[in-house]
Amino acid sequence: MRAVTIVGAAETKFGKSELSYRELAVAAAQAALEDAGAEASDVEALFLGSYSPGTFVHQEHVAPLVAWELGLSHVPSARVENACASGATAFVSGLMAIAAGLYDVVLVVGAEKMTSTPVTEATRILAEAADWENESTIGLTFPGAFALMARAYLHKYGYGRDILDAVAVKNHANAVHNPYAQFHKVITPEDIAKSALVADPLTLYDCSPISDGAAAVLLAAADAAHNFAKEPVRVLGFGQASDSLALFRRPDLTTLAAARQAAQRAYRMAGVSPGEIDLAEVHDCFTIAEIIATEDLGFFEPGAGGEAARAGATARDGRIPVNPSGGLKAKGHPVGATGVGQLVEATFQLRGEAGARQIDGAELALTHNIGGSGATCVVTILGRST
Amino acid sequence: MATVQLAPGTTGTVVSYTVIYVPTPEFADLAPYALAVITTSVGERVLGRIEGWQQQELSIGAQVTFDRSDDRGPVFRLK
Repeated sequence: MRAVTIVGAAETKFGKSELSYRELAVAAAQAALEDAGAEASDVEALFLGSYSPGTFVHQEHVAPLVAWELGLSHVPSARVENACASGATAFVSGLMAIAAGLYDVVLVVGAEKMTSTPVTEATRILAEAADWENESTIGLTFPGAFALMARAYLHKYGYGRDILDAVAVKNHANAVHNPYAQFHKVITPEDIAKSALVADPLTLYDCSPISDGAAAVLLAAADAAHNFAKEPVRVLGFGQASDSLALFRRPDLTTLAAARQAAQRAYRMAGVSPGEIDLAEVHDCFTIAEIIATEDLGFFEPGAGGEAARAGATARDGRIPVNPSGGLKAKGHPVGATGVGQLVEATFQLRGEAGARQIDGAELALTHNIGGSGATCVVTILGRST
Repeated sequence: MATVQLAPGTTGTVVSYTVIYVPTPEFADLAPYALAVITTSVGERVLGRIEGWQQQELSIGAQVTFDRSDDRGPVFRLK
């Protein structure tokens, strides 16, 4: 397999944006090309991760739309959809195309425009990524699915909700240092206690927000990376796995089997172990998801993730910094953009460009992007150029 | 919607539960409502609504009885 690198990375600010869907995608893509010192004519193919532009903004067939707006001349383009893991799955598509030797330079974009839709309507659109016949029509929402996991986890290991508070407080504190984040507001456990229940035991502050945003990475074969301006970041390994869409059909509600499988594949391909990772951007769509992720990724034993979050082991100065960007919780969660945005943050960190949130000396970064309640997971391990 | 075939009086145990306060538009009239993952006495895993959660404490391990199925899936009651 040919080695692949990230030679350009950029994202828009996440949050409520005045820009349209296509303007967001184009802004991120052009900024990633500029970051790489690349021209549109360098791009041989485009993969666009997007969850549901047809229902959010009445626009399907978005990949050629964005390709044309970018001035990519008749290159092949395709939208990739895997719910909230659409972004990382688009990245995998680009990675495979270069690894297979089809192309040398591929642009990967993730985008979503969600805030023009009322909250209950957005809740239903997101519920379409669950098992419609067996979950959504019975009344299960996404916060509801993660509430079922949270309740099971707290009960199994004897925790109170203070471990959930710790994740929300940490990620809001991290996002203060991220100019691309939706929220720049420190929160306290008292704020969380006062916030409205969404799906018991999860409150508004346990949930990632509804966001607009886009992110882009320019991928190049390692032997073509010297044509670009920035120091390339190496893709050392990735893993992708699937599971039952319906949460209740999985034997254990306190772990995501797809995440464990994806992580094992990524570690094996990269030839690294969890203890060597310097920082991780994980899919904290809800606070409980970050705790479970830190166990699925092998940073902590089953049941120890809650205590680790409470003790500060996942803070920026902790044993394994998790979500220095602020995560989905506070950086924001424009669904299709999220997985690509994690790769952008990891790239900034490995190039030493993350400003006040920089993890000093970061050499290995991991990203973890899940779709639905964990029916898709993509884990990627990136390394600093040596 | 896929119908769950459960015999009347089927009993089960709550594996996990939640109460939904922010529903989809289709369930707005019902909120807040309780949903639970239940293992039935014959070992089948189902997702269903729980009635009576306002009167009796809902907990993991609670015993429930299948009451009926409606157009929103199976409904159980706390024993």
